[in-house]
Amino acid sequence: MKDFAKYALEVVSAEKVDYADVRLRTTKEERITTFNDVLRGLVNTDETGIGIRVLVNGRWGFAATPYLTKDEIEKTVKKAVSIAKAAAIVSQKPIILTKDKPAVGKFKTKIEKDPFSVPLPEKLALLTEIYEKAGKVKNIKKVMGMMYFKKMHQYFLSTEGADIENEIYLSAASYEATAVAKGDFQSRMYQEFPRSAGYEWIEKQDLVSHAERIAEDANKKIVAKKGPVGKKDLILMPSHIALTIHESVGHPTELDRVLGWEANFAGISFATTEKRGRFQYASPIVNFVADNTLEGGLATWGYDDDGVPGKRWHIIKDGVLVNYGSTRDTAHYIGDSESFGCNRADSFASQPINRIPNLSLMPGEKKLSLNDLIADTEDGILIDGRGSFSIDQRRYNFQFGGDMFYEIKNGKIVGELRDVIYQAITPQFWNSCDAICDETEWKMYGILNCGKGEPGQVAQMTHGASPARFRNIDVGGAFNG
Amino acid sequence: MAKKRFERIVDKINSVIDADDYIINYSKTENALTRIADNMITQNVDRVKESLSLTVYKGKKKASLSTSNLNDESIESFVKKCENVAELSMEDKEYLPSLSEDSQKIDTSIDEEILKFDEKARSEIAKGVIQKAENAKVTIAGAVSKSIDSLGVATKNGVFKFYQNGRAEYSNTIDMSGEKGNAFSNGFFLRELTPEQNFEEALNDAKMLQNRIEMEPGRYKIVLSARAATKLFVWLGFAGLDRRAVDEGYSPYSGKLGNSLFSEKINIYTDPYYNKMPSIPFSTEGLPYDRRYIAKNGVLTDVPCTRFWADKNGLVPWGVSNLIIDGGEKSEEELIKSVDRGFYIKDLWYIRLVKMEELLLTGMTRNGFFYIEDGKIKNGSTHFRWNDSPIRMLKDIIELGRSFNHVNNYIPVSVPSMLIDNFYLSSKTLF
Repeated sequence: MKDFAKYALEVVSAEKVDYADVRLRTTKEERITTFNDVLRGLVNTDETGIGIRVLVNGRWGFAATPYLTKDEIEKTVKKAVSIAKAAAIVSQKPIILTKDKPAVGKFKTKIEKDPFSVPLPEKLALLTEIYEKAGKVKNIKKVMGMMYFKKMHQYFLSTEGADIENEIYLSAASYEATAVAKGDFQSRMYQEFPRSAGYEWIEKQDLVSHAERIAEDANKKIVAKKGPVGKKDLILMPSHIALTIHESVGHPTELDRVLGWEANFAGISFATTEKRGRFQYASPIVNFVADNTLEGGLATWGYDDDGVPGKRWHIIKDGVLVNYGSTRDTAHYIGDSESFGCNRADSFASQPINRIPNLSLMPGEKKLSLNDLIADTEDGILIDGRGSFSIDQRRYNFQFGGDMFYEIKNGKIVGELRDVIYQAITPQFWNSCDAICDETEWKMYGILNCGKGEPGQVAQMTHGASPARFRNIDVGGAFNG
Repeated sequence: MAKKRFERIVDKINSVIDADDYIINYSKTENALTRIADNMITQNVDRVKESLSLTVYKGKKKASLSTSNLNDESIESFVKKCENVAELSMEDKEYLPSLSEDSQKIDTSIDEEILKFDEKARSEIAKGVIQKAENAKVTIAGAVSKSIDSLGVATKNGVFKFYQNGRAEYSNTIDMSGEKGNAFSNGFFLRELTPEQNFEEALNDAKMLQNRIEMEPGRYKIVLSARAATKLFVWLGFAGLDRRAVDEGYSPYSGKLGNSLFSEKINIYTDPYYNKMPSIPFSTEGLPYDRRYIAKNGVLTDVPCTRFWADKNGLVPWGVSNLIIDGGEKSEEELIKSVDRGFYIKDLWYIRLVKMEELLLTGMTRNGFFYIEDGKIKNGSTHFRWNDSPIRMLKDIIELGRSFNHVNNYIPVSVPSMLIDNFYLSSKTLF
């Protein structure tokens, strides 16, 4: 198979290009979905193709084809070059790449059990068992189950001499139970816990053991007290805060967005370049580390689609914005000589774009358990799991829901709540963080469907965190009109 | 070309398959796009994706596999693999035999100009608008693209349907001293793209937004532009819109069928043959789509229904292909004249579900956003988060204006501009 990539590189090298790279990618996916005891979907996909990116006179050209023949590869190279040349009629600033050292290497996700070799009946039996446990709980009308596995294999070759092979796995499972009673309906999820791992990750989670609790939680939400309106202290669990991190720290620090390259679609960022090293993004106990070497991280690919090796760096240090996630065509704008390696494409047929790396809130340095944190909270709400989410186009005003809410009074959880929504302004929110639990409470959660770009692309990345507390946050405004 | 290729694939599968029942789905997308930002071309792509999905039944055991490798040899082994996976799978308790031939007439014509719309033509458009931006000392970001989508479905029992469409899109955002205006155009004919007009409109909005004034949250009368309305009301096309969910009690429409849910001005329907915005005329099972009303004169008349649920309950199966809300004749400028104190919203952003029970949505205002006083735009306004339900909005609608057709590749929508009462702008942001 690599011969096709080599041939494409040979053909493109004969063209007058300043730079070119070739990605030959095969992606296998398996997605199983169940509705109660009914198999709704069992979809296996297998996609192979080649994407060719060229830089000619400071302009990108990208063309891709699923047809792996020499003729088609030649046509695709010519198309990529023609596109780049056509753009030369426009007088404009050139695309400039940083001088990262061309990498030669291999990377493979560490797995114990290839999810594609696990017999299908075993997976179906697991989802059926989840339904049997959750579905027998009173009022449960619907139990939706999902498993998703992905294997991506890629050869990356460039005219600078990069020669990379990587093989990435992803395994995920989740389910949701819906209770219908008292003229109302409420759902509770055992949420997606995707990891870059093999099927052992599914087994480790012991999905079935949570099924009854999840179904009972859906019932508790039906009779739960409505969430308050006003200011509350919030304790956000890692399962919840992963998405808050993603939207309010991950996206604002993507360098392409900061530079205005997403102004027409995904938006821009308040975290502009003059703030680097100066802006108090969060309280001093807050540290965010990007880490594309993190074991199990969904953005741990070994090398990105610029061929840059995975790196670990601070985005926010002691609360101060210190860095961004960058690519080879954006890093020079902030005076960096190397990219942080955040360029990824969702398919052979997509031109890679600046994506969020694995980005985590570091645990607090002082010993602090979740129980200690609850005991130290007088009047608050604990939020578990993901719910509604939305943020403005400069990444200031955000609003999040959750999946399960618990009222805290005088250091104790006193009951469940429903319909809790909080809203804040990003830097004010992160500066209100006054406690983060220690490393014993630190957990990783993954994002499966991060959409960005035109044409739209979907990427995955991991956000780890310990439970953290935020003081005086507005809750309930969504329902207060 | 794509139709012949689909025919060959179907013939090949029919000659080697041994399954008790099967559905073949074919998809090909040819997409080319030039992206502009910071007054330069930042991305420029031309790509082809093609895939075959095969759903097979061995008895009632079901599996669906998909591949991009479509040569004859690969298809043969792919079919065998699919049959083997089905053997290992579980019974589909909702199985119904695949559909048979129904003589549906399908238009597959594509505008020749879209077929010819290449990288040179896209660069010419980019050149023109970047030049305009530099002359106006503003920054432009945008995209110009074309897509040719081909879809085929065939079944063991005789369905053979093929549909193609070609569409072109242009959008731009103009930044003048940090204030942004946006406009876009799209259509099934290249002549429907209006880059120069879109540039001027976005530029004008950016100019009018200079020195915006900070306003306070609250419930306001709003004029929602038709373009913005397409982004919001597309939610009516899928969220909770399922007959089984309605019948089993977990849809916002549960218990409301046959009720007056909206103002009597409101008609909502799907119609793949709608001449201003045709759409895919069949489902992935080959079920033909036709004009079907969701709401007529404000009454919730029907919601889409799967074949299984229809068969079980004596209903008619149908689905949403596009979403149309009938409009009126007034321009947005005329609607603004009816507002004593309120806002003109030209764009919305990051719309998400907050509470399914009442279809409560949230989102932000974006780009063109203006304060209206005494029937006139008074000034640009700082932006707001909003929380409101499209069901509530259509109940309290005051007037409908002219429609805009948004031919996205998800659910094409044709929605009018609207004068809505009591729209809830819930919180401020910092700009």
